[in-house]
Amino acid sequence: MDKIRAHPVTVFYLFLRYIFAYLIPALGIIVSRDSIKQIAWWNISLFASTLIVTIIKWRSIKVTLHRNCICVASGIFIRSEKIIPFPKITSIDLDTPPLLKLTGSISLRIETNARRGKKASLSLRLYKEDAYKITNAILGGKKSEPISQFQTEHNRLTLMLISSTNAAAGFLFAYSVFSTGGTILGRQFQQNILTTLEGAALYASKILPPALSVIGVLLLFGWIVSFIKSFSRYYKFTVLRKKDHLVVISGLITLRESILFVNSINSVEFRQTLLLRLLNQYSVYLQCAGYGKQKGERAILIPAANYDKCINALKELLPEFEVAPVQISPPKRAKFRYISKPFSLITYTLSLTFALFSRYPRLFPALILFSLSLLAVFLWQFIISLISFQTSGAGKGKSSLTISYHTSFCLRRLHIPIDKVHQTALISRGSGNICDFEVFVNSDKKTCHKIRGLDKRDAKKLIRSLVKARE
Amino acid sequence: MSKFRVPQKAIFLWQARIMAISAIFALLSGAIWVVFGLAAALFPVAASALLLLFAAALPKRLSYFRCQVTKDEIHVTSALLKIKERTIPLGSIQFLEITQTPLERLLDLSTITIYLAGARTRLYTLSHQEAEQLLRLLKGE
Repeated sequence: MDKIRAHPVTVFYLFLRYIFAYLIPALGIIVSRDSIKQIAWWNISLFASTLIVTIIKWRSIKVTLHRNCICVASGIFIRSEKIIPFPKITSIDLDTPPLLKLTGSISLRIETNARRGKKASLSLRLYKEDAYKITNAILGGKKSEPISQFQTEHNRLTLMLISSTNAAAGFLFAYSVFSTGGTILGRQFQQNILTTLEGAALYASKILPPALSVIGVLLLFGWIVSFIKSFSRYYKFTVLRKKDHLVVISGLITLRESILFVNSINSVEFRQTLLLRLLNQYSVYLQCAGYGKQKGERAILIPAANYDKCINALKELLPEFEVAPVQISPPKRAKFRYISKPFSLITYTLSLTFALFSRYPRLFPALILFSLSLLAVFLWQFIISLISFQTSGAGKGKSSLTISYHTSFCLRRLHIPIDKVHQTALISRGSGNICDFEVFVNSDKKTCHKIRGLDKRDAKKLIRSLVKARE
Repeated sequence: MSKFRVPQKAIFLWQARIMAISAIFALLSGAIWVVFGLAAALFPVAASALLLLFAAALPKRLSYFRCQVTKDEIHVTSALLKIKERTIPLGSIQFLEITQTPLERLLDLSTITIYLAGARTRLYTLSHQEAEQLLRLLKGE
C-alpha cells in the first residue's frame, strides 16, 4: 500500500476555480461606489482566504495505491473517497502542459465506463514519478515493449484536420482568448487584434458584398485558429501497440500520452468526409470510454490513409478487431428515404426565397446571399446522402458486427465486437418491407447508430445471427 | 451474505434535513402572506405541510431499506416514494465513492455511491463502520 500526495501545483488549479469570487469586489464598485483603496483591501483579504482554502484542499487530497485498486480521498467539509478497481479502468491520460513541465509534475486522468460527466473520472496533478508509479501499477507492474508502431506523416494529419476543422469552434476559442487576454494584457491588445480583423474585412468588402466579407473573414480566421490548435495537439501523432494496451503519444506544446486498454475499446470507426472521399482517404477513430472526451479532442487512431493502409495498420495495432464486410444493403426502393430530407430542405429554401423575393424585391442581394449559403449546406448533405445510399448497410463476421451509415456531413463505418453490442432495434414506418436498423453500443459519446432503409427480412436475419453468435 | 440497514441516527439526520427545508418553506410562506396576501402563501404552506408529513413517514419508509451483499451480487431494496428492488452484479461496478458531510461525520455516518456503466446508485446513509465493511465486501477483500 503506497501513499501518494498531489503536487503543490494543484493549488494553482484549485485557485483558478475561485477566480469568479473577484467579481464581488468589482460589483461593490458599481453598487456602493466604494473607494478603490477599500476594494483593494477586499481583494487582498479575498485572495488570502482563497489561498488558505485551496492549500487546505490540496493537503486533503490523499492517494492510496492498493494491490488491485486506487483510492483517492479529498474534501474539507464534505469528505469523499473514490475507490477505482484496476480492471475497471478503460483509459489513462498523462498530459504535460508547459506549466506542469516547468514544475516537474504531470496531469493524470483515469477513466472508467461510468459515464457521468466529470465526476466519472479521476483527475490529479502529481509528481512525474508518482504518476508513472500509478500507471505501472494499473498496467500490472510489467514494462512491455511495443509490438507494433504507427506514426502519422504531417501531410496526412494536415489533410484530416483540413477536412474536419470547425471554423465556428475556432472562432469561439479565439474570441474567448481575446476577451481573456484583453482583460489580462489590457485594452490595447484587444484593440490591435480587432483593428486587424476590421482591416481585413474592409479590404475584402471592396470585392465582395460587405456582410459576406465580414462573415467570410471571421470564418476563415476561426478556421485557421482551430486548425493551428488541432495541429499542435496532434503534432507527431504516434500509436504504439503493447501487450494488452495501446499508447497514443502526441502534442507540440502540451505533451499527451493516452493509454487505452484493448478490451475496453467498444468499436473501431472508419470515417470519411466529402473531401476525404474525393481523395479516396479514410480516418480511423476509436470508441473507448475517456479517449477523446476532453474539449476539442478527437478519438483518432489513424488520421488519414487509403483503405488498404488503414486495414494494414489496424491489423498490426488491433489484430483482435475483425473487419467484416457489409453484407446487406438498402434496396433501390429505399433511395427516397436517404435523399428525402436534404431534397425537401432544398425545395423549401428555394420556394421561401421566391416567396420572399416576390414580396420584397428590394431585398434581392440579401436573399440571394442567404439562400445560396443555405443551399450550399443542403446540397452538401444531398451529395453525402446519395453516396451513403450506395455505401450503407450491415454485415456480421465471426466476432464482429459492421454497420455503415451517414450523419449530416460524414460517412461512417463501424466495426463493433458482438459482445459490445448491448441492444438492437428495428423501426418500421407503415406496412412496407423497409425498416431502420438501430444498434446501441457502450460509449461515452454516440451510443445509438442507425442505418436507414434496410430490407426487413434481411435485418431480422442479421439480428437472429447476432443472437446465435452471442449464445 | 451480509445485510445492512439504515441506522436510527441516519433516520434522525434525514428527518432533521427535511424539517429544515419545511421550516424554510414556512418562513417563506409567512413573508409571502405579508407581502402578497393569504392566497399567494397557500403553495409554500402546502409544500411545508407535505414535507412535515414526509418527515413523519420517513422512519417507516426507510425501514424497508435493505442492502445485501452476496458472492456475486448486491441487492438493494429502497422505498422512499415507491418500492424499488435492484440487483447489481458486482462485476458491473465501475467504481465506488464514500462521502461524509460535516453532520454525518459528527454522527459517525457516511454515504456510499456505486457507479455503474451509465448509471449511479446511491445507498442511503449508513453508519461509518458498516459503510467501511460494505466497501471492503464490494472491493472483494
